[in-house]
Amino acid sequence: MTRTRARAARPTVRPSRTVGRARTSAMSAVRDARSTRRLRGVLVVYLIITLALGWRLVDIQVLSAPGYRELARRQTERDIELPAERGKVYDRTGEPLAISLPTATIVANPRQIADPDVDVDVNDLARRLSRVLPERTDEIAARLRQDRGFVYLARQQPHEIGVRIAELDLPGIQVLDEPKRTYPAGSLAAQIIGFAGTDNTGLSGLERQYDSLLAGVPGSMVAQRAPQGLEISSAPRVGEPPVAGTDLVLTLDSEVQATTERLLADAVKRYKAEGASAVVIDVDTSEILAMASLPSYEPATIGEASGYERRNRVVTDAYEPGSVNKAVTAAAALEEGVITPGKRIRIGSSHTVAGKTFTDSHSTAKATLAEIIRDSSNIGSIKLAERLGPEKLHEYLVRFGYGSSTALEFPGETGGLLADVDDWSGTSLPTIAIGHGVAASLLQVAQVYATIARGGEYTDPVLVRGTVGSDGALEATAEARSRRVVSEHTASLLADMLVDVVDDGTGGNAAVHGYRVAGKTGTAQKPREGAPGYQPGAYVGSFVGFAPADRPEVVVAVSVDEPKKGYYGGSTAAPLFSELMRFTLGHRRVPPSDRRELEETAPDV
Amino acid sequence: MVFELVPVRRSTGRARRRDTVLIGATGALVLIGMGVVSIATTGRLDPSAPHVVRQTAALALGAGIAGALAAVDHRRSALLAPVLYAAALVLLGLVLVVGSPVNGARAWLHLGPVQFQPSELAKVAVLMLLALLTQERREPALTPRGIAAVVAVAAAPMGLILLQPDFGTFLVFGALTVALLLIAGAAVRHLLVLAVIAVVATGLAWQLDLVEDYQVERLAVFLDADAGDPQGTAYNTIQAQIAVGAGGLFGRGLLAGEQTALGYVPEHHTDFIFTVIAEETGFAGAVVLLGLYALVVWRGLRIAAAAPDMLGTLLAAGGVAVIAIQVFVAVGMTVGLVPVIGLPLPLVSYGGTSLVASLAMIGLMLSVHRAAR
Repeated sequence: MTRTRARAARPTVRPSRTVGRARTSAMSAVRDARSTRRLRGVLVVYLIITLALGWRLVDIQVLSAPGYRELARRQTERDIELPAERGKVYDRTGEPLAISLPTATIVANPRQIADPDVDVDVNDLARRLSRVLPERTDEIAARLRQDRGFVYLARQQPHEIGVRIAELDLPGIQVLDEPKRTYPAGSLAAQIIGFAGTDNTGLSGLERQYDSLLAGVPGSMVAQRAPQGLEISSAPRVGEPPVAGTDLVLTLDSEVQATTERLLADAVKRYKAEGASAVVIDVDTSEILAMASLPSYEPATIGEASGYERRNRVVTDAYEPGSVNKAVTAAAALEEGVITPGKRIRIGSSHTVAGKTFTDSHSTAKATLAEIIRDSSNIGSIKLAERLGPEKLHEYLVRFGYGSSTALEFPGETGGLLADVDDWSGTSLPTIAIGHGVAASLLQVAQVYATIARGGEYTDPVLVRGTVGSDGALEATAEARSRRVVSEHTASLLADMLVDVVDDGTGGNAAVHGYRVAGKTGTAQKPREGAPGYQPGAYVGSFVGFAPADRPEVVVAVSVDEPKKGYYGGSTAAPLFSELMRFTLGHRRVPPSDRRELEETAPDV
Repeated sequence: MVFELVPVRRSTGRARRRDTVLIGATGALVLIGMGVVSIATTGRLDPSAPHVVRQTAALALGAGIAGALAAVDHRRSALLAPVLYAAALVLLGLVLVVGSPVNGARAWLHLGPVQFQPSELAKVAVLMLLALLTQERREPALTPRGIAAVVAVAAAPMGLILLQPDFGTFLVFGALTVALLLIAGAAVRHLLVLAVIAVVATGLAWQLDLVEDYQVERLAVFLDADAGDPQGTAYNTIQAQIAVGAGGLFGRGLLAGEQTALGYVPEHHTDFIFTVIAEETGFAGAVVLLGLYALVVWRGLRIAAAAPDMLGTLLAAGGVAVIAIQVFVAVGMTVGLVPVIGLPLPLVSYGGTSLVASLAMIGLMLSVHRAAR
């Protein structure tokens, strides 16, 4: 510093060449020193300014950078979602039940159209659009005049309309690819497949349950957006391409399903019933071949359908199964050895438990277990249950699948109602023994008979055979889990007794010509909603069984909800069962089981 | 001390006569400017872009003028000052009559295909004449009379520029005048009196409604960013800061400055050009740019300190003042340090007259350097 000052203070000796006059006076030297000092001051001030700018830059570009970058991203970028093709749903034969059709959605950016640089007449634009779109010219023009950056002009139009609009190449008009869900089979299995909304989200049924598989992964595209809301479509940055959804292959057989729905509709009409439900299960694989509740709905007009119509009531609604439940009581009694097939027990004309008297429709003094089942004896069933005790009866109900929903995990599936044994009242044991005071879905009841048909083994029901990914190969669903409920011996004894029900007992109407059919009727009053007691005159008649009894192939369970013409399961559900079973056995080419008939058609070699 | 004003090492021969650091920093800034102007106007690096072509023509002219000024002794070229000053005054008057308004200010003369900004010529002319006058008036001492004479010479073009209105350039002349008086050795008390007069004059102008509404609004917005129309002035300030902030530490990459490229920041090839640099090259690029300006300022002041006479000192230091105040404003307004005052970033912003004027001032510094003791 000292050296600098000394230098600067040195008198100038160079003679002036032009206008500058060199001064050698002491005064001037002092002032030169002051100038140099002030020059240094200017430099210091400038360095301070630079540091101030630098400090602001550190604040903005280093400390607050993420916030600013987010602000910039939010206003300069617009994420455009590229929809993924939703997976299709097929039946077991490859028949499509739900597919996605490519449709065109036409959108506009009114701000871009209003931009003076674009120079376009809104009326002319609307006129040209209205020649292709279903909307009227003035409607389109009104939308184009809105002060917005995005308006829909027409959604989910046929693909060709999108192509024609795109060919017009109009300013500010864009065609987006928006797949639309359609159900080619119409109302067929509608309650099972469910419904997906326009935004590719499953709202009910399998569409909802398997949404994460079906939906796929939408891709993305980033468009840049200028301050006026104009999108710079020339420079979109492609993000991720969409990944198509996985296809589902169901266990349903469209033909069985269609027949089921037709027969149910007929039954509803014939018996003037509220509704009717049925489920058909393949005994070997535990696959559900058909499942339906009438009335149902058309997917195209789902908005008009009631909740009752929309529900897959086979699994979502629980009912008191009534006498069909006696199979559980009988199976438990046999398995636990509280009765043997040849033994007769006292029945009598009435039986009173905890002040409640139970009777039979035709009384008898003594009966075997087979007779109790055949004649659907309440007293006999109750007496067996008393021998078992509440714990054992409860245990067998649970083992047969009562009280918890099945492995289907269908949206809205019910587990029925089975009170904890500690909460049982004095009348619980007798009523539950005959299928009252306990509720189950029709599927749960069907599973009881499937267990008997399968030789005492409970197998989880299956509705989805597998999935088909992008490789096109079917990936089978994990094999259904099984558990033993009763011994094979018990199951086969019970099966024979259930055959008697059809051959000689209450289930005569369930018979199928040429096949030995095992099954059980049930008639139960509908409980009052939100109050104890039952609705007078409101019954659910059901019939659940399997065939052929010797080597069971198919389980069918049907229920008729509040029939006005005849209410016994034997008179409403049993004929329906017969028709459905006959069709299914024929469709599945199951050989007739009756030996005499076999001998008639194909003589022994 | 890194920034030493008076050269310590005495070197000999040609090297001493040409300040390569100043020339290098100037060249680097001009080159950066060319690239950023191309990016800001076309979205790519294109030497044939119209703005780049015009800027290149201005560069050729400016480099020629700077070279000529550097080659001629500053005491000789300073003789041009009265002529240039007179010409500038005439043109500043003319632009008020025939100039076409751009962004509300009559600052441009259209001479066929060429656009010309008289206020930029005036920067050089006023610098030279004020330096000459101040140097003469400081003998034997800078009296209040002398100061008044200097201020009067500056006031004429300043008045005309305020009529355009161009508040930014007005400020540049004010800073130049104060810097020259300061360096010439004016007594601090005299400068304080001058400051008081300036404040009173500003107050009067306010009272007499001579200040444009938008100037008031810009000031209000600077004081409180939420004031005023968010789509207007505050919007520009916010958008500029978003662009700078979005650059982060190392920038979003060349050509990747969406915030500026999509038009969120106005005038991003002229007054707001710093936002493009800050967004695309980040803090690192901004530091490099500010470093280059610091080099120019340091070398300019060093030349001023080593000048053979007070005229040389004032010519070099005045040039530094003009460049420095513009850098401070052009960068400061993008980071919220200074209200939005339209000023180009010298040597970098698009604008031919501005580039020629800046280069001419660098040329004067080089001339003074050549004549150094």
